[in-house]
Amino acid sequence: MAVRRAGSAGDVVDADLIAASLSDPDRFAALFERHHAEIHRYAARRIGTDAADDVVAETFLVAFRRRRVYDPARPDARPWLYGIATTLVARHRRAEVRHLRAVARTGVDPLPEPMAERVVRRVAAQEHERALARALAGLNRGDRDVLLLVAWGDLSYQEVADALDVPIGTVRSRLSRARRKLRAVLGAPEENTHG
Amino acid sequence: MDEMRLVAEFRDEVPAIGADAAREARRRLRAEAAGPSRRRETRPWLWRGVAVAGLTAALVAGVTVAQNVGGGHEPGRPGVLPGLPVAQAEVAQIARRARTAAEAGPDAPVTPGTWTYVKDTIRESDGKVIGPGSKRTTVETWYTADGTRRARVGDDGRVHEQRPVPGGPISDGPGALPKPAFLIGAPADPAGMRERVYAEADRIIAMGRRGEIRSITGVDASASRDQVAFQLVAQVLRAHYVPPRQEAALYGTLAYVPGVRVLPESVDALGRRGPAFSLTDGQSIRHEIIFDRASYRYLGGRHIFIRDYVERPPAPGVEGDHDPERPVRYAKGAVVGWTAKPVSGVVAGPGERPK
Repeated sequence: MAVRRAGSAGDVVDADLIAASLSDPDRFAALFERHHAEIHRYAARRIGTDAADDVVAETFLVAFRRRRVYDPARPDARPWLYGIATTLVARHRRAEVRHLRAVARTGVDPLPEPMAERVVRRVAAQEHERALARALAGLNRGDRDVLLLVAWGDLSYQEVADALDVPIGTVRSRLSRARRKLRAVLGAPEENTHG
Repeated sequence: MDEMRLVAEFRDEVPAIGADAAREARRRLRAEAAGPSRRRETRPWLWRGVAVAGLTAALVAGVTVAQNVGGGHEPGRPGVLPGLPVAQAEVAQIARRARTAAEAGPDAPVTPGTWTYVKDTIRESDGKVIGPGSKRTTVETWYTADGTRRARVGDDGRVHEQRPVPGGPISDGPGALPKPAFLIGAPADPAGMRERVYAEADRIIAMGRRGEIRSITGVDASASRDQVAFQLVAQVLRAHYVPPRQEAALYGTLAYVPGVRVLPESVDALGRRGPAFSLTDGQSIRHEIIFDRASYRYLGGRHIFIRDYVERPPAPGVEGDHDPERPVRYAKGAVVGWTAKPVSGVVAGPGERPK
């Protein structure tokens, strides 16, 4: 789904841009252009476009301030940016859970609808979407972060571990627990117990 | 059922970042890169919702007034509608007046290829309670009455016709709800329109039960038949150009929907006041269809909690961060949906606006 952009744009990888921005801060703008839409999409799916607007701006400000400590061995900056964004999203945790519960309860998603498909004004969610929203609301934050970084950020387990600064084993166990809880709420038989 | 696939599809159609927001983010980044003052603007977003509380209190006051008038049964309580409630006669009377007003004007026929224009405004809730300070988004849409062609203003500020997406929301396929062509040839009398509305409601409910639809236009397919009929009428009025005589017939349809009442006054997303038809759902959310007191033309819609709502603990077996000490609450008067349709009409083609 998500296009890996690390090697695109004339082979200038994210790490090179960040390194260049140490002496020439304006070079950092290219990092923004590469990734802001994707980070916004992730944040908007969690907390709505309005809050996501701020999260995106904050994410790149924080990233800019921390660029000196960026690990140059990681060419793709997406996990780093997703990690910062996830921390910022956490400040909206109560709102996020409230949105999800609203979907579960009313079947109407309170998040703003897409402009392009304005005909689908509100998601009048069917039963399984309501159950899914309920399940997502019921996850603890660490589990939800891992699940959504995998599902929406399209990050690998290692990248999620980098993003959240936790061991990869923790990523596996959180994801497995999140999926198990989802299956339980969605009413699917628990065919395989986690690994 | 693959839970990862469901998660991946959930909110898949979230809007992209707006040009203004991206510009603002760039500006802040440039300022940071340029300036020595590196500590500014770190947390303006934290307090965006603060003003809402006071506004909500004002709305509660308004609602209290509305509820004291029009009397009768408690809204939202099932099974307490003896015979024909007062509201039904009231609704029918308003529909008759609307029809009289409509017949005083010209009867411009709308054919399948007729281009129509709708400008509508929503207050975005962003999960918070909506108030007059909530972000307002206005969208202009041009479409042919049969729904086969559609245009809107692109990011470049110019009007572009959209390519039809097979099975997409702008198509006239079975998934388009209500069908864009719903109004073509629709009767202009309440009884006839009622038949059409309930037939479409039944189609939507059946598709929901068969699992053929997930996301539909402002209508909860799992609601009761009467709720679906009301929401369908509300959606048609909100999203389409509706000729005056058909509009009066849609109002007349509401007289046949049990539980519909008339509120003496409500207010749309642009602050315009007028009476409203209303129906309260099982979650104590009142759905309102607001119209102009003099012309009877549709103004907008609102969704509002009519009593305090307190979140219940999650179902057994669901671990959550539900805090029994501090459950999520919606206060009576909390607005969770707010729209307005300031302009709509027949036009010569895409890019043209009604005079």
